[in-house]
Amino acid sequence: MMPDSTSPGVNRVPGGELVDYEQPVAFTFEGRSFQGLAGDTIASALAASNQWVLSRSFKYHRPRGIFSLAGWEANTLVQVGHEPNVPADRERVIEGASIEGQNYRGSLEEDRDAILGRFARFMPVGFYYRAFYRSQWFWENFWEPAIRKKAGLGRISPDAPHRYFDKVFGFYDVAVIGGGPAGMAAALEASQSGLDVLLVDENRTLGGALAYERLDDEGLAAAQHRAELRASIEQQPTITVMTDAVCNGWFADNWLPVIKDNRLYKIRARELVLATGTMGQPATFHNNDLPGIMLGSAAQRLIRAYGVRPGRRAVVYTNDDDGYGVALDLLDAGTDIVGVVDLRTEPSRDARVLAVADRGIAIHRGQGVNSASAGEGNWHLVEVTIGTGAGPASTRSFDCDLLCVSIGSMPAYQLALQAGARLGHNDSDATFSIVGLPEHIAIAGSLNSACGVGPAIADGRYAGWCAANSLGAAAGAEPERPGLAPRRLTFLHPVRAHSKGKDFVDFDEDLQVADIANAVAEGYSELELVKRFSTVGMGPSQGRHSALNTARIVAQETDRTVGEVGVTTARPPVYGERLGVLAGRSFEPERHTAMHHRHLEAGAQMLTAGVWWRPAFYGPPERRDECVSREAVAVRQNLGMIDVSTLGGLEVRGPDAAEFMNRMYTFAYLKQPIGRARYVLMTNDAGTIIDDGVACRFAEDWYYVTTTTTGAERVYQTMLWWNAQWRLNVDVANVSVAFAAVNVAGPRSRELLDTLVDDIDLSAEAFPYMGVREGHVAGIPARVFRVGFVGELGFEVHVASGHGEALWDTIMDAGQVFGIVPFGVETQRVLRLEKGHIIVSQDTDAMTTPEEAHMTWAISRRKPFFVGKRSIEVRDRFLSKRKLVGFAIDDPFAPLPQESNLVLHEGEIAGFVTSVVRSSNLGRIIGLAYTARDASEPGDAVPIRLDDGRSVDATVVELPFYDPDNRRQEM
Amino acid sequence: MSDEMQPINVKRRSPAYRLNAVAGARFTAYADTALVTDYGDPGAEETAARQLGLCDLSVLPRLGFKGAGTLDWLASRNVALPAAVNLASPQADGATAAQLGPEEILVLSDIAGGSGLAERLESDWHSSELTPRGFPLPRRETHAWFRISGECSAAMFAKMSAIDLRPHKFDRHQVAQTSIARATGIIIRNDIGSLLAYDLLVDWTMADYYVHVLLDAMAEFEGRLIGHRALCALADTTA
Repeated sequence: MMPDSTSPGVNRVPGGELVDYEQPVAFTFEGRSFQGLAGDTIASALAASNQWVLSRSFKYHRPRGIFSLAGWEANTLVQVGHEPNVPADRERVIEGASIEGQNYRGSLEEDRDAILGRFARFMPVGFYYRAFYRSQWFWENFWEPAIRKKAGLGRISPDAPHRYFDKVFGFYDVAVIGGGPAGMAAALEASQSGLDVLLVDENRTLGGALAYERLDDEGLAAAQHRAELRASIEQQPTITVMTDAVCNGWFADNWLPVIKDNRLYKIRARELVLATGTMGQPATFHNNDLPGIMLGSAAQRLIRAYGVRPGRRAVVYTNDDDGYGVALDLLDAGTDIVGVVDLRTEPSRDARVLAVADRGIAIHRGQGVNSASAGEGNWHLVEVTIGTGAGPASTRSFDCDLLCVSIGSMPAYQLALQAGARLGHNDSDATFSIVGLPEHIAIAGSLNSACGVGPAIADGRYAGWCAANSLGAAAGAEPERPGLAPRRLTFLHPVRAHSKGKDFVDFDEDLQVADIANAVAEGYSELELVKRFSTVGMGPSQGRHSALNTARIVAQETDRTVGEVGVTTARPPVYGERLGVLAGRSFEPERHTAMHHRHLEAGAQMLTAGVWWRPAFYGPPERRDECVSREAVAVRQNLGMIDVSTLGGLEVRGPDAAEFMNRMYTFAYLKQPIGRARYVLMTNDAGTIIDDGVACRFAEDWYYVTTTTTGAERVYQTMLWWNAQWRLNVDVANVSVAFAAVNVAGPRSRELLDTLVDDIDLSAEAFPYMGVREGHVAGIPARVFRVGFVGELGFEVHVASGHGEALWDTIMDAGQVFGIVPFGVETQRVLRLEKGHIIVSQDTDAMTTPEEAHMTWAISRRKPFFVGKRSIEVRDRFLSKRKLVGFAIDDPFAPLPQESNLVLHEGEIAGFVTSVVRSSNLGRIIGLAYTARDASEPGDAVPIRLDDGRSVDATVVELPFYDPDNRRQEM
Repeated sequence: MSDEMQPINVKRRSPAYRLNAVAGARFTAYADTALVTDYGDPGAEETAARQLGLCDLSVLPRLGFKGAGTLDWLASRNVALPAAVNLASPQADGATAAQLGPEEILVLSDIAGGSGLAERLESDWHSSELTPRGFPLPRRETHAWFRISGECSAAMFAKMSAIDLRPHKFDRHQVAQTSIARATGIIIRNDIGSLLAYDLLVDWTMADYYVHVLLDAMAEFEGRLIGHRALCALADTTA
């Protein structure tokens, strides 16, 4: 029998607290138009119009709908526009939304994959371990594509619009998670002396169970308690309330991610109180997953929060007095109660029980639900069968469209266990306790087995006082510590496999009682193994509804108690979270030189060097080679300028500056003349090259040292670290970003600068190569160095960063008559390679010694100490098998090797290419590579394996490739 | 200060001058550089700054000193020193001295830019023969300087820094050297009279990045860029 058709608002009743009856909201579901109310969730809006099926289950494609109405399971995950896996029972419906169910082929109503349910016997637990691995061909060509198509629940859309997500740090003295009676009481108590208190609740309003439970026959007590507590909260200015917010994990030192809308609050709390309450549990029986079967609390939420009648004819299944509260609420909402099925045999004198009886409702004591039935297609519940379990003859059946299950609960233990606590089980009364909480965390309320409003409030108050007291801020005397709260003896719903199966333990994974039992029978007798073999608890519900029943089944099958079996632990996140919340707002720092915008205006293609942006070359990307070649020719034959502001810069000052330099670097610096620059090479303890640059001596006690762009911070830290031990009288300051710098290079560079400099004699005699001067360039105070990386006459000009752009502009303007060309990093790399200069970290690696790199000339052997000296001496006695060499390929048609291409020697890998270019200036391919030491002499062959597997033969040549006498750079 | 002019006409420029110009800044000459006077409506800027305002002070003088002898030498120059590291000390002329390390001081000019303390100290250092006396640091070039003002300042910072900067947790003249939007910077609580305000010093080369980050963070509080005129007016009215 198909369910009644949908009809707008047919199930709507007055009194929904969260909805606005005056404001309709139109949306579509599965292409059909629906109307809800502002404040409805998707699920409540659909339920109001008698649409109960929301999605199809993972494995058997069974229709599924509301179960908890609290976002605890995958039953209600839907696709909203571009966004998959939206929990329909939490997400508010918005005007114009286009919503679809998930996990079906065809339509939600006519799912062609529902046939899989008929093959359930061929898909027992763990079947995939045995089913797909033979044959390889069949797996690759049939099974894998098919499974990939079916994998997942929703659809990811590449066209999904970007949304804004961000994060905010929050700092509180006390955080209380859970806004029920215990949580509110804890927050109030903790805030008495002015502490900053955060109160977080995942529901839209504070109250917890008070927002939906019926505590008394008249249904007034819960609302009254709730109103009083909320009023007190509102009057407390130091309590920050976050509702509709989820604390999605616990991390060390009470770091709590709280997600609200598109924002992640990174909360740090000095003390934490968890008052997260309990979670209703399902009963296992045949067809226990049908739409129309839900927790009693779900039915109450529907009625009280959204004004929706959950059904027309209901059976209430219970084992405590709360179930009778559910029945009374249903009656008030206009639902006929066919009967209350109570597992207990003894009648209770609770006022709610008496009220139900007074209304003439049949109460079936000592009975349990055996099975449920649906019409064709399992679309909706139509009948429930109950019995004593003594056999078919003792069963009875009832027509109904709603079964409310209220047969027990588990603590919402997730955060407590993430914090390191353990879940203990009292086998005698089937109750749980949380033990082993770390410091600065307390639990309160029903989570702490303080059940009932009075005990919950008292327990919350006590926990709040303790939290404040830990911070030395408790107000008033210690409240009376609540004694053991009345334990709720539960008459356990029996967990037995039904002969027809479909008695689901895990709704998310479509796992039945027999599946768990079979996992144990397979030999997986420990709970953790059962979980991993069967995947129980691994779905979106993360064991909320399956952990207890799984533990009970494993206990039964292994003849142990639940306490002995235990419950699997919980790990973050508590609920699924949008990736955007984790990703945004991302911060990606960028460093721009003072001339950055000039490069962009000149059409530069930019590249990153660490967080710096640098011009690679100037011109369109598709003409890269042409641009680089043009720039290189300009520098070699005329004049170019490059922005070198990114180089590191350190001021080394103090009486021991020279000694410090002598210890930090391999070369000799004690006698370095003032006004001269000297190359610096830094090695680490192991004698490996880690950085290089230039040291300029401005005074006896003052060096200005450059580093590589990405090495500045490391060199600075290294210097500080060493001097913390040496205690030399020296100060090191990292001034890398304080200076903007350009290198003006080319045969006409002196000619150009002469037009801009009045107070420095730039002649070769007065300002020789490696000289250092201070003066003014274009009226700007500047440090000028005659250094060159590119092998041409060149001047490096360092000015205060604020002057950098003006310097660039002035030089470019003045250089126009000379035909000046800006050149970028890629051009510089070609030019320096022609000159045979290495780039640390490109041409060196974590093992390169100065000897391997032909840089023993930069080592002072007479110094008593420098960092790495001892290791270099040792390693020089036991030379490595490789050597860095310059190579060339003269064949103009030879393919260009790439960096990292392997170098072979006698068929074995001997090294790799570190740098390589096709030099238009030299008319050949040149590069640097590590090769076998015994094949590293000029003229030796360097076989290089290309990316495509071909080989090309290069030849070792002397370095540098260009201007071996250095005449051009020293003119 | 002279009439409106453009940063392109001077040789020393704030690292954020372009963003200021795009936002409609009007500039005036200040020493060898250009200072943002306002963004077209100083009255509205002053009002906005009470809730949340961002003022670029990068062109104003500041200087650091570091190394053995720094504190003693500065004391000898009558600089009022903070009581400890990560504290700042206001100077009689409105300047601020913040202690960043056992022997490291950062000197910021007053927001009007007239104190002259940084310039005087730099000159004195070069002419002094006292040793040791630390070494000067070019803080005008290592750091961009922003003043964030208004009652929403701390809430804005909470979107990019893990330090609790709320006024009841972060005292006046307290200093934090910390990660801000994934790069290191310096925050000094430096109220303008009774108005909550912070000095933010960040890597000079990241000024563009930080202006974007700050404006994005300020948007939900309706924060905005404010000019120097509005900032000074605040100082006058909240004194």
